[in-house]
This record gives sequence, C-alpha cells and structure tokens, in this order.
Amino acid sequence: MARSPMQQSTDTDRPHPPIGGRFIVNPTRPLSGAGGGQPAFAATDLRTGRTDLMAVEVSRAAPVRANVMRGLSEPIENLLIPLGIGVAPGSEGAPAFFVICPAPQGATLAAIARPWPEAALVAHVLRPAALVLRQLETRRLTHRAIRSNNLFVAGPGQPVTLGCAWAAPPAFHQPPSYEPFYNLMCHPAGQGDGTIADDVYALGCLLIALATGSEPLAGLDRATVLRRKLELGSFAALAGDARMPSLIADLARGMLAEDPDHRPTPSMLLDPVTARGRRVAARPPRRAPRSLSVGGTVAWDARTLAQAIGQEPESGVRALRDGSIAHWLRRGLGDASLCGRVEELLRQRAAEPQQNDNRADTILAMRVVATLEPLAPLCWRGAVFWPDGLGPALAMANHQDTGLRERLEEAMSVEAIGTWAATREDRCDVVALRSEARAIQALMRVRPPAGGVVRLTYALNPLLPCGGALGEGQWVVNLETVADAMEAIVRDARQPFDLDCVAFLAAHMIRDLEIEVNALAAHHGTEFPTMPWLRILASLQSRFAPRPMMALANWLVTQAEPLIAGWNNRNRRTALKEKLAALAADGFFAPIVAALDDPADLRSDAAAAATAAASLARIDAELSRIVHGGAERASLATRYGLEVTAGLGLTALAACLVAAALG
Amino acid sequence: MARKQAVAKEKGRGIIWIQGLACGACAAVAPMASAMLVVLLAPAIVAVLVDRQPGRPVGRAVLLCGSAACVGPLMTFWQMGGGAGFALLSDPAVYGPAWSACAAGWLLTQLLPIGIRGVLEATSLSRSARLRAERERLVRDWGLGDQ
Repeated sequence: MARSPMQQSTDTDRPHPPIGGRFIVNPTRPLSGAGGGQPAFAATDLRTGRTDLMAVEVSRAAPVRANVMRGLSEPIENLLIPLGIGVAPGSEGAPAFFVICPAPQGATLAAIARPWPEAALVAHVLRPAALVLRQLETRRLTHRAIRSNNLFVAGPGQPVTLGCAWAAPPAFHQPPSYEPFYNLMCHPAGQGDGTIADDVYALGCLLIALATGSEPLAGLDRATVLRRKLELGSFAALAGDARMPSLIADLARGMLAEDPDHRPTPSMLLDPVTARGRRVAARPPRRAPRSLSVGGTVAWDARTLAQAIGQEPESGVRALRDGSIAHWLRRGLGDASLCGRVEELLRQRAAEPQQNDNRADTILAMRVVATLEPLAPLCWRGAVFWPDGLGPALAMANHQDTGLRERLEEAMSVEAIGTWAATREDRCDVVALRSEARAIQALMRVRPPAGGVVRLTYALNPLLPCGGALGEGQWVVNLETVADAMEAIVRDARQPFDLDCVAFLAAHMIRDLEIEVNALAAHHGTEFPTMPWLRILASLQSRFAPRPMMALANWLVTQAEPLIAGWNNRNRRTALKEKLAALAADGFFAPIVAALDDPADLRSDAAAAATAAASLARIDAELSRIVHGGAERASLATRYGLEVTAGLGLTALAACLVAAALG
Repeated sequence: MARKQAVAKEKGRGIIWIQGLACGACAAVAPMASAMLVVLLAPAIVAVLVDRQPGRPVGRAVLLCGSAACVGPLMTFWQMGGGAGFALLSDPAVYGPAWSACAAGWLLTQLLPIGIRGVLEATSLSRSARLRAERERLVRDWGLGDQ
C-alpha cells in the first residue's frame, strides 16, 4: 500500500488550505521576538486583507490554552488576542500548529536596557497593562505571560501591548523571577491558569525590571530563585538593593505580596497613588531561631518546610514520624497551633487502616504541606501542580516524563485533589474541586481507551494534538482533520487505528458519533472493529471532509471479511465483495456502511439459510433411508410380486369363468 | 398377546375344519368332479401345502392360475357326463394345460418380485441422484457442509 510517486507529487503540490479558511502563514518570514520566546511567522488574513498578523508556532507537548480561545472572542486594546488556530506548513515544510494573532508593533521591553522614568512606567506600562488585566478579569481569564520579552511598545510615548500568551500552557515560558513562590514549586506545565493576582505579581516584577533597567535574578535557575524568594520574600529577592522611584517600589512591594489576596487588583492599579497607599497588614512569616533540615533543604520557617516536604515527601514523612517536625514547630518556630494541626494529621494517619502505607504516607505529606502553607500547590510524591494545571502537566508527562505521569495517575486514582482541597478549604472551592476529582477518578477507572490517562489527557486539553500514529508528522487537533490524517497514514502503509486515536475520538465525541465511539472504545476483542470505524469515518467524511478516501476505504473493506461472512449465501457474499470493492474504489464510506449494514437483507438471508439447512437435513435423511432401505425394498418387491401374480391368476380365472358362462 | 394368538389359532383351526367339511361334502356330492379337480390342481395343492408363509401367497397364486385352467376341462366333463371323467384325466391335453398354468403361476411368483425389485431399485437410484445434486447445490450456495 505504498504511496505512488503520482500520489506523493499530488499531495505535495496541493496548496495547504488557509487556517480557518482565511489565514495564510508565511513560514519564510519569521518574526524575531514577536512570539515572546516562541517561534512566530508573518501571516495574512485573506478575508480582510490584513498583513500585520503573526502565527505563533505551538509545541506538540505544550497544548494551547483552549479556555482562552473560547473566552477571548472580542478584541481588547493593547492585547494581542488570538484570532484563529490551525495547521499550516511550518518553516521546514512539515505541518505545524499555529495560533494566529496580530503581530506586535515595535520592540519588546527586553530590548530597552535603560531604566524607565517613573512617569513613563506608570503611564505607558502600569496603566495600560492594568486596563488589559481588568478586562481579562471580567472575562474570568488570565494572561500569565507578562514578562519583558512579551510586552511590546510601538514607540516613545506609546502604551505597552501585552503579547501572545495563548500558544502554550499558562506561565510555561515565564522566567522564574516573574512567578510567585507557589508557582515556582510547580512543574512548569502544571501552574494552571491561576488568578489575575498572578498577573499582577508578574507586572510587579516587570516594573522592577524596567525601573532598574535590568532583569531581576537573571540567569538563575528555578530552584535558586525559589530558594531566594522563600528566604528573603519576593520583593526583597527581586529588588535587592537596587534604586528605583519610591512610587514604583511601594507599588511593586504590594504587587509582589506572597499572598495573592494581599496584592492590589488591576482596578486599584489604575490609580497608582491610591494603590501605593494601600497597606495590607500581612503578618511576616514567623522565623525560627534554629533551622530544621528535611532532605536537602534547610527550613527556617513553615513555608520553606512545606516546600521541603513537598519536594522530598519520604524525608518529610520520616521527620514527621520521628517527631522532629512537631518539636521544631512547637519549640523552634513557637507555633503551637500549627503544631497541633500537624499532630492531628499524624494521629488521623495512625488511626487509618490503610493497607498501602506508601500511598497513605503520600497523602499525609500532601496534607501536611497544605496545612503548613495553604498557598502551596498540590504536592504528590514530588509532582507539584495546581488542579487547573493538571491537563497541561499530563500532556507534558505523556510526552516526556513517564515518572511524572505515573505520579499524576496515582494522584488522580486516589482523588488527591479532593483531599487536598478539603485540607485548605478556606483557600478554594472544595465542592467544585471534589466533584472534579471524582469525575477524573471515574474516568481513570474506565478501561482504556474509553477511559484511562490518555483519554483524560485529551479531555483536559481540548486542543492537544492527537498522539500515536496520527501524531507522527501530522497535527490532528479536532475531528475535522481526523479522516484526512488517517487516509494519509494508510497511504503510507501504516496503521492509524491505535489507542491514542480512539481516546482522542472519545474525548472529542460529538452527539452523532457517541454510540459508535463508545462501541469502539469498549471493543477489546482480537477482531478489528470494522463497522464502528466505518460508521465514524462515514460521519466524519460527510460532515467535515467530503472527499474520496480510497486508501482508507480499501483497507477497511479488506478488514470486512468477518462481516461479509455474516451473509450465509455464498453467491450473495461474492456479489457483496464485488460491490464493496467497487465502492471502496469510489472512496466514500457511507455507501459501504449501507451495503454492509442491511438488517432486512441479513434477516432474509438468515431465514433462507434456515430453510436451506432444513432441506439439507431432509435430503440427508432421505438419502440415508435409500441407502439403508435395500431389505425393505426387497420385501416390498416380493409382496407386490406375489400380489400381482395372485391378481393375474384371479383375472384369468374370472375371464375363463365368463368365457365358460357365455358359452 | 398370547391370548390373542391362541384365539387366532383357534379361529384358523375352525376355518380348516369348515374347509375340510366343504371338501368332504363336495367329494360326497360329486366324487368324479372332485377327483378331476384334485388331479388337475395337484401341483397347486402341493404348492399350498409346501408354502409356509402366512396366508400362503405362492400357493394361492398357483391355485388361482391352475383354477383358471380347470374351467375348460370341468365344463367339458359336465357336458360329457360322469363317465368321461377317467377318459379326460388320461388325456395329457387336458391336465397338461392345467399343470402348465400352475407352473406359470409359480414362475410368476418367482419372477415378478425380481422384476419389481429391479424397478424399485432403479427408482431409488434415480431419486438418490436427484437428491445428491440438490444437496450439492445447497452446500455450494450456503456453505452448509462446512458446519
């Protein structure tokens, strides 16, 4: 089934359709720095004629933010909103997935090396950015990509424009200095959408960078920045001894508050003078006079201790068990209340009849972390993530990190999100998170591909491209392109019908396909499920891609032998095979389904087969009677012979008597 | 069952007695004619006696055939009067046809069953061939032989 040179040439020469029917990507014109760290190319809108667009290339493992695509339908001033998504040829000719948005005008703020004056910072950076954030907040969205290389200024005196933040998981490309400590604890893909307060934090960091003319904590890795922030606090770690206008320093101090509830809202930032005067009485973290070592971390306060336990739960649980943590909390930190809560968790653990000690210990560590630092994300055996970052974290883990995937699977299977939420119920919506955790757990319990981690990954990441065979060299992010991609794979003499494909279909199920996809997902036999696939492809073809797909149709028809065997009549089978071959050559699935799925015809065939079987039994019985009926026939012949002879004699006698009587 | 058989046997004995009585009456009323019948039907009588089958079908057939050949001599005997009995019996042209009729009857009892059996076998073979052809068609069309 290798592709013929003619077919290859046709495929290559056929121009790729515009994204969404309107956007053309020009991969030969890269726009350096426009994608905020991601590759970007010039793009054109065929409908409006706009040429000032860019296409930001998406990485396969880092899914696009689907909720933003839905929520940002109307433009926001000074924000590069997404206009479309789709597949187009990339810089190397291979298909690539792009997010289309307006191209930024001017240079990034990272290109400006000198310190900004206070007035310019407030007028051209703080206020425009706060306006954008306020509008995002009203739409329940976040940006999560406010950093110097993703904010653009068209020229002197112009307001900044927030760049594209939609082509990767939230905060995926953020430098560590721009994220609060609780996000730095997370896996980069598991930081979640967060809240607008996280954008305010990043904006505060940006203000410091622009006010000082240099990136704070530049060149340091994530762990180092986290340690600095935990040791010194965010503002002190970022600003250090740098000189900056007092207004900016006061604003940044508030914006970099560790607790997101203590940061000013975007609306407050529109009036910097008022926002500067706002003082939130945040109690500074209590610091112990002596440290406690957990694993490789030296903790001086509860927050650092939480981070240490979250990072190394085995060491943390050992320290909890031997009482050193409780002792340190009570005697060292002097927080008897916190110590009491931790000891209560330990007592609950001791009272629980858990068979699996490791798992119970992991739950204990998770709950202790949430108790010590309610701002901390969910920590499960070193896998740290926010519940709304679970989808991207799973996508990344599926792609690159088997160990992380196993830990996330385990967390989902024990409903860890619900337990974690219950431990810090004043910080989150426990009911919503618990129901979400139960839904996830229920899906995990279903046997793959109907359930399991692959299906869950696609369900949590609606714009994650299909993996498996469909993902090799192709981008399939929705049902529209599934049939075409499968056709291309079959033409390359490969198999597209794998677990990933079924899980993808199940996650993107539409009402018309529900029964068939469920049948496909529930199929675990050795036989190929030809009929469900044919029905699904017929539906996809008629709905999205009304083009002939000869290779796929031919391959499926060759798999239809068991279905054809459902017909009893050999002549009908032969006729059906010939008909299917002709239909496969046309490349449309609906007629093939109609030919194979004819209940009335099947019923009449079954009835005729039953009649034929009865006839055969009758014939066999009669033949047997004939074979074994020699003696009976002989007896019959003797009897008939004697009777006939007697009859002849009687006739002769009667004739003689009559003749004698007549004289 | 045994009682039924005993009843049937008793009934058979009664018929034999009646037949014997009738024969005795015939012999008493017309002794010459009876003697003539005995001579003419001697092979048939032998056949009846020899035949041990129920209902004595061979003897009955031979008797009927022989009886048909006795009608002519008996008519001649009645027309010629009681004294011609011995003369008729000594004429081979009289008893020869009667005995030949008996022989023909016996021959038919031997040959007809064979002929009829041949016809029956031929019919069975023909039917068998038709059935086999039909069976082959069914197997070919429906694959029933595979099951």
